[in-house]
Amino acid sequence: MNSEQLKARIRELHPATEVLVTDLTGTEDHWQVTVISPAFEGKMMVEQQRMIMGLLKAEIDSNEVHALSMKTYTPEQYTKIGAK
Amino acid sequence: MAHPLVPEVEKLVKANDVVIYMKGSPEFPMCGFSARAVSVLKAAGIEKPVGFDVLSDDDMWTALEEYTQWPTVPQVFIKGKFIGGCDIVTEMFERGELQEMLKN
Repeated sequence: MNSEQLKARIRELHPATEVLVTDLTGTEDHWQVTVISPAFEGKMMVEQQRMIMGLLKAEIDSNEVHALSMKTYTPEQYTKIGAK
Repeated sequence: MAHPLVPEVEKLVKANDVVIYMKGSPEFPMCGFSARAVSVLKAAGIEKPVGFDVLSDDDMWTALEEYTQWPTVPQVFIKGKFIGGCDIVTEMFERGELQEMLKN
């Protein structure tokens, strides 16, 4: 799975989702993602991360995605940290 | 069929404000991630969380994973609610959300 495929998959959360991905090892299996999505409104962080893991379940189970570090924000939260 | 020890996990996390399932104890963590989670809790004002050492009880470890459907330890619970592991607890602390949750 390359970074474009990864982004496209995560955007399935909601059409207005923004995704930033970093390939931590250059091997396309250790990813860091920052996801900003209206789909996260009112959800605990652990649930937000479960939503992303759910979209990538097949790749995580097959170990195609071996490590996934996540930061999740609602658009409102992301605007706030940007203002700091 | 649910693991027979799942009710034990539920009982412990509901009986205490802050519980951490971890490798080792809060005093002597046996893993860097567990140690970091304990120190984040401490920074948030929780000096003595209730700790459960999963290395001492394999069955309970399995029951925990079944209860939360989360594949790694540490696992932190606040007021009976599963919060997350080391990364989530750290991030929530940095955003002030952890402190907020502990206040209420």
